[in-house]
Amino acid sequence: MIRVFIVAPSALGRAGLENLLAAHQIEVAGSFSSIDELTSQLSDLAVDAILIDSTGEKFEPFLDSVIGLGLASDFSVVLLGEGASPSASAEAVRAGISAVLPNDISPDQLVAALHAAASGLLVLHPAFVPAEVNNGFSAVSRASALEELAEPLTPRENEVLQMLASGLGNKEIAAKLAISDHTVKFHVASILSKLGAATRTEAVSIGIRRGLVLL
Amino acid sequence: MAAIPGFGEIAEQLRRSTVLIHSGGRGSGSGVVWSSDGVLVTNAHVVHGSRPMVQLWDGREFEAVTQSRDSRRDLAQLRIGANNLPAAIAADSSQVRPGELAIAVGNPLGFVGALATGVIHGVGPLRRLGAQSWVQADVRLAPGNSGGPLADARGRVVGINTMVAGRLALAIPSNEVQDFLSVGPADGWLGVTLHPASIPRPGFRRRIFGFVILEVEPGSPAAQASLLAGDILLGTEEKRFSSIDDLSRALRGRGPRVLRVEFLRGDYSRLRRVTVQLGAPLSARSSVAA
Amino acid sequence: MSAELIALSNALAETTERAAASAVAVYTEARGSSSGVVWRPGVIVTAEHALRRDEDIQVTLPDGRVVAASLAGRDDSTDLAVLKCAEAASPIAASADVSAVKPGSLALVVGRTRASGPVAALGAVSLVVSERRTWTGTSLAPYIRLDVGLQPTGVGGAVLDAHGQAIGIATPRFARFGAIAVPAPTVNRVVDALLQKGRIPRGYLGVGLQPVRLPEALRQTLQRQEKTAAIVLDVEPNSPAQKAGIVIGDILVALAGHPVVRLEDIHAQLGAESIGKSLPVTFVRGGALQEASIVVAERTHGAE
Repeated sequence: MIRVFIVAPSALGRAGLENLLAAHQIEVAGSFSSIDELTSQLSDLAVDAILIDSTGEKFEPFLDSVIGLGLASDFSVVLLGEGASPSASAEAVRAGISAVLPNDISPDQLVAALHAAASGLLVLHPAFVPAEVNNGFSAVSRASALEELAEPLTPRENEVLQMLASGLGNKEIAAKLAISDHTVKFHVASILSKLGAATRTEAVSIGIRRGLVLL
Repeated sequence: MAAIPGFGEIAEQLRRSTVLIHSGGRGSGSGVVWSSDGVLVTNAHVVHGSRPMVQLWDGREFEAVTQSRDSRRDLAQLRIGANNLPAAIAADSSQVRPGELAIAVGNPLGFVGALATGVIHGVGPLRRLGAQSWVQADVRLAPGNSGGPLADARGRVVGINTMVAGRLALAIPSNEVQDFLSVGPADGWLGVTLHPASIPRPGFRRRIFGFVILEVEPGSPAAQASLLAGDILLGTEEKRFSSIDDLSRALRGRGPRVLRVEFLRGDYSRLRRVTVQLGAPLSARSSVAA
Repeated sequence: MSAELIALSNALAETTERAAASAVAVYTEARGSSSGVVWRPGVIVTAEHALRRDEDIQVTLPDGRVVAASLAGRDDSTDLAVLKCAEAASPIAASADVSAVKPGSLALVVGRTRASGPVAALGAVSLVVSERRTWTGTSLAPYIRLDVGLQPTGVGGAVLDAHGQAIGIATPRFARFGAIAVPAPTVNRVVDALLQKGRIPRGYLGVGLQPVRLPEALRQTLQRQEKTAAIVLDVEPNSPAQKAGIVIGDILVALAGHPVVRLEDIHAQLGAESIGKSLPVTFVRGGALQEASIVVAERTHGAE
C-alpha cells in the first residue's frame, strides 16, 4: 500500500481526492491546502508520492513552487492541472516531476499514475506528449509502430541531421546552407519531432541507431 | 455485459479465434485465426523474426511461418500447420456504425484471452495519422492487444487492433485486411527482407534503383535460389525495379512458376542472374506443431 | 563540537569561497540554472547537456552581476560546452596532476545558483580508471567517478580536490549513479578545440548503414557470438569507404578489431583520435569473409 500527501486548495477538492484514493487502497498520510503548509510538516512523515491538485488556480505558480522548493528532488510529485500546456509539463518533467496530468483524467488513471510515480517512473499523459510519440502499445510494439508510421525526413532535414552529427551549431549550419538562422531552427525542431528526440544530441544518437546518419 | 443474451457464447467464440504470438522474449501480441486451415492475421510490428511462436486458445503451441508482411499497412499473414481451427468471421467494416458495441480480445500484459468492451466512435482517417482509414473505438487496450480482433456485438471481426491514440483504440478495418490477404497471395512469397537503395552504375552518372537483401528466410524460395544477405536485386529479366510496387507485381501470380531475377553481388559491374521458384505447394512449407 | 570538526568545516567553507570566485551560474530559460566554471580569463566551461539553447545565454557572475555570454561550441562526447564572456575574469586554480586523484579522495563540488550565491556539495571520489571510452568513442582519461549528491544547479560546477584545486567539471553524464568529474586535461583539450574550431572533429567513413541479423549458418562459420552486424546501404563517392573498395551490400562485422554489433559500435570508433588512422575492417561479401583497410577522414559535411 502506498502513502501519499495531498495538496489541493479547496476543501471539497481535498475531500474528493481523499475518498478516491482511500477507495483504491492508497493511504493518505496528510492533506494540505497549500504547498507551504505541506513543507512545514514534511520532516515528520515519509511518503511514497505527493499529489498536488492545482485545479481552480493557475498552473504555473504551483509548478514554480514545486521546482523552487526542490520538492521534486526528494519526492515523487504528481501534479494535476487544468490548462497545463505541453511545454510547461515538459519543463516540469525535466525538473524532476514525475507526472503532469490534466485534471479530467479518470480515477483509474490517477491511481495508476500515483503507483507509477511512487515506484520512480515518469508518467506521460497523451495530451501533453507530441502526437508522434503517442502511438503504439508496449515499448516494443511502440518502437516498431513508431518507425512504421514515422514521417521520413525531407532531404533538407537529412542534410541538417548530418551536420548536427558533425557537431555544427545553428549559425554554422545556416551559413553552410545559405539559409536563415530561423529556418535552421525550424528544421532542427522538425527533426527532433520526427525522431522523437528531446535534444540535438539525442537526435544524432537516434539517427545513428536508425541508420539515418552517414558514419 | 453478461446480461446481454448470448454475449457469453460470442465472447467465447471470439476468444477461441484469437491467438497469442511471441517471438522469443521480445514481448507478445495477439493474432486472429482467419481461416480454419491455419491462416492467421496480425500486425506486422507484432512479428519479430521469421519464426514466431503461436499459442492457440487451448494452449497448443505452433511455430508459424510468415507468409507476407506489409510494414506500411502494419499487417502480417502467418501460417501454422493446423487444421479445423475456430476461424473468426469477418464483418464488412464499411457497415460499422458509431455507437455500436465493440469487443476487443487480446493478450494484454500476458493475460491470455482477456476481453475489453466499448463503443465504436467511427471509421475513417485520423488527421495526425495519414490517409489510411481506422476503425476507432472507445475500448481500453494494453500492450499485447496488438494484432488481435476488434469485433462487433455479433462477434464478427471489424478490425485488427493496432494502436491507441489517447483513449481511442485504432484498428485496421477488416476490409483492408481482406485486401491485404488477397493481393499478397500466399503464393507470391519470396522470403526476403529488403531495403531500397541507390546503386552506382560504373560509367554512368545516375544511379539505379535496387533492393538490398537484409535477410533471407531459411527454406524460402530466395534461400533455395541461393540468394544471400547483401545481394542487390535490380529486377527481373523483363523489367527493372523502380519501386516496391514493381516487385509486388513481379511476384503476383498463382501456382508454381519461375522468376528470373537479375542481381548484383559485391560488384557493381557484374550483372548476375538466378531463377527463383515461386508458388511451391503449401505442404512443402508448412511448419511442424510443437 | 570538537576542534578538528570546526577546523574541517571552516576549511571546507573557505575552499568553497575561494573557488566560488570562479564559479558562475549559467541559464537560458526563465527558470532553472546550472553552474559554470571560469576556466580561463573570459572563458567559461559548463555542462553541455544542461545548456538548453545556443543563444540568449545568461551568466550570474561571482559579484552578482548578470551578463550575457556567447557559445563557442559544444561537445556532447565529453558533456562540455564552452562560453565566451569577457566579464568572467578570474579563472579557477586547476590541478596540475589529476592522476594523483584516488578513490576515497575528498571531492568538493562548487557551483553557483542564479540568485542565491554559491552552492557546494561534498563527497568522495568513488572510482578512478585510467581511461574509459564514452559511447561516442571519446576517451576520458582518467575516468573519475564521484560519490556526491549533485543538485541540478550544481551540474557543471568545479570538482575540487583537498588542495582546493579543480580536477574537473561535475556532471551526472557517463555515470549510472552519482556523477563524474570530466578531468582537467580533457577540459583543456576541448576548450582549445572549441575556441579554435567551434566543434570537435569526428572521424568519417562515408557509409550509410542498417543493422542486420546474420544468417545463422554464417554466424556459425565465422564462429561469431554476436548475432547482428551492419549492412552497407550507401557509399559516398570519394569517401574513405569507397576508396577502400567497400560496396553496397557488404556486411561489416568488425572494425579496428572490435565486433560491429550495433551501428553505435561504428560511431564509437570514430572519435577525433581516429582521423587519419588506417582501420582494418572485416566484412562479408557474397557469403565470404573479406578484409580491407579504411583511412578515416575528418567529418566535414560542408563545414570547411
